[in-house]
Amino acid sequence: MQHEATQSPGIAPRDPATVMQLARMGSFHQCRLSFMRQLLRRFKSENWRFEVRLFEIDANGVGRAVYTAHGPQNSYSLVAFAHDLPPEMRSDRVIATAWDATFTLFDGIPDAADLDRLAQNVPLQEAGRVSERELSLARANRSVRLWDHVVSRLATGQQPDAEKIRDVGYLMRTTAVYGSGKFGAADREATCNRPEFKAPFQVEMLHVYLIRAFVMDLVEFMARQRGPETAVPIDPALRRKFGIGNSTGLGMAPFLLNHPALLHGWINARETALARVRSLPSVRSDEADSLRSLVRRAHRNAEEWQSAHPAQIAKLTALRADLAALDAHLQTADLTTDAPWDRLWHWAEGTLGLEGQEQLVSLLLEPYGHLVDDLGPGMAADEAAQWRIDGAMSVQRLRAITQEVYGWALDTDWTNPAADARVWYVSEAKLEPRLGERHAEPIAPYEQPLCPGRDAARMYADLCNFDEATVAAFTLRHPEHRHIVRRAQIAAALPYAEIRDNTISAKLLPIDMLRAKLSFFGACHFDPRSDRWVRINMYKHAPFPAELGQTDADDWTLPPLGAGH
Amino acid sequence: MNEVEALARKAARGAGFSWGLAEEAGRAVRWLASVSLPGPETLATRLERGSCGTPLIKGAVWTAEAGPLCPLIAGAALADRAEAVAYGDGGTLRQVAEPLLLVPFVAAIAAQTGTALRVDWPEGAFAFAADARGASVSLTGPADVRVSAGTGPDLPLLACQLRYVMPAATSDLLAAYAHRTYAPDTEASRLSGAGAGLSDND
Repeated sequence: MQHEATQSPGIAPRDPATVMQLARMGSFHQCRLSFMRQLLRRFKSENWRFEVRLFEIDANGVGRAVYTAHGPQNSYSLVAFAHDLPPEMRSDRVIATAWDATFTLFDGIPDAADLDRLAQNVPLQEAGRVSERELSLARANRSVRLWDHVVSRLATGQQPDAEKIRDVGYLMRTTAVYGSGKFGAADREATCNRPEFKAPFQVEMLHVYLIRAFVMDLVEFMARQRGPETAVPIDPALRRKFGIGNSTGLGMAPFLLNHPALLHGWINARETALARVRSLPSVRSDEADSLRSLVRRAHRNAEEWQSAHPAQIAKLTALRADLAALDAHLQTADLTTDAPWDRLWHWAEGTLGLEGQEQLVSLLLEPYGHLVDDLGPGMAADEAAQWRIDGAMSVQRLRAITQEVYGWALDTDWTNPAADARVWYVSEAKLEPRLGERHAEPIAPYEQPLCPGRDAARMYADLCNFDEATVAAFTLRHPEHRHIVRRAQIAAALPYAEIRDNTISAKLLPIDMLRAKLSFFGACHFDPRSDRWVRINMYKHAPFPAELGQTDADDWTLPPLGAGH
Repeated sequence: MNEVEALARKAARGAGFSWGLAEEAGRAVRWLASVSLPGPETLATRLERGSCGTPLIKGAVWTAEAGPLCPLIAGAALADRAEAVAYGDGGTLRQVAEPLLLVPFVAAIAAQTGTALRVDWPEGAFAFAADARGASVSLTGPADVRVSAGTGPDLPLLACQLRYVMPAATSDLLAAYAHRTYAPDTEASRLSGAGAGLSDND
């Protein structure tokens, strides 16, 4: 807080019209406000205690385990079921029906009856049913090539190959983590008042953190089964290089559109944090050195970041070039006086691409936990607070809001087939969101309301021909616009609530929406597998539960600068 | 409750309501279920009734343009006029198809404006102030509904709950309406729409 007293008149947060572009959102990186980072800071500051309460796995790797995290008030248990999955059944698709491991996060410590009940349901995932004692449901598949390599190396007393670990990055990847009320689990409302769950997605992040610990124990256990006399554990430094993979498909993309107030909460926290840092009139030399070091670590991270997707390869090439340019600039730039971070920011906007600019946003926040971490818990949103339509608003005012928030859409020629080429719909078969071709498939009647720009343009046309005074009269006459009236009013109050870009254009890349969301989780190493699904890594380099006491719980996301990988 | 709301929203959309009104239906049904009132069942009745009237608003009396008045359209219109409802002289909605579905909208207005409001019809009475009270003996109308300032200290308190057990017939019926929002599946859409086709298994 000391910094705030010495701040010059604050720099304003960035313009939503700049930030809320899909190409830029698709270039976001994790930062210290990301949800994994918030969770691990809490573990450390509150001295959370972790224990393995049960580990009943047989020689085939089948069985159950319970990993419990004890916080100041509450305990939470990962209940894990390990399975022996025939290779032909292994699929990351949401339509899969069997997995290498299935999990639930239990509210408290489960007794034997709970475990038996969960054993009947958790392995079935969507086809089973859990209760309000369970907070989330998840499953994971092995990376077969890395799993077999690690088990056989450890079994014979050797360490796994660092190159192979780098190429894959995880032993298991989750294919879904379902929270809040799905399949009978507790609604978020039931737990969101607990301090540890105030920030968004803390249940899911805790769940995955415990899964990572279990998976590493499981692989070492399997190595001991294979070579009881010769097996060794993984070297701790190497062990940290394993994250948990995740395969995220199109189903997650509509989330940002379906939760506008929450989206604002996330983006606003990050933009406010950036504005606070840019507003610093001067910078200490240790803070400047810290940024120089962080840029080099981010460069190393970008070198380790693998993808076979042409678009991501191009983005990674640009990111590496941006970080090299930033590194060079930082060697000579004056970083101590005359609002140095703001000057650096203006330099970056004029010099770097979107990947580099957004990486710099994340790096600039790193040295300033005392200035920005207080924004973390506020990233949750009371979505009900902005939900009611203000019918007393004048039609004239709603027109002005539409011009302000959706100006780009009013300038779009919606008769051009490329502008509305896509349709978001839900398929009958799996009840998952999909994206179809409006002008080639008969799916328009099933369109989901995930195209605010087009809808706003339609609303605006009717607003201009409406002769009564109030929004209440407008929504009564035009119920078809009620959804977008609500969105427009939310975006007027919460400027980062709306993606200010075309979510149904022929050029849409849903992976941009996925990356924006996952970056706030704290994911890294985005590896798109197509334009609509992406692999990521979670908790790579993070300390394990047993290490939290002795290590910095907040300086792990970028690889260290030491020798080797 | 998230599941209750999502099912109600999709069912209302499947029955032909606009997305914005379907969202209102989802919220209203969730609210009713969370105070142990049969919101899902009443929505099912409403959807089975088919098309209902939009209100003609003439002063303090709202009538339907045709047939019984739709409680979801009328409720949303009340909510859009929250200040006028909260601080006005009260009004009557004629021949509301399922009066219970109006109740959540009035509760929301009372909460939003911090006023005390009553909803009354021959077979139901609710009052919202610092607490929520009321009871209804019949789920269906049509009935004339009066919305006015006032409290109801003699009415029973509504009982909050976190879970709602829906009768199978209701959930089947709502699911059937919700199903209408799903596009028929084809192999081509399965492959292209979800973006698969690339091996996900290594």
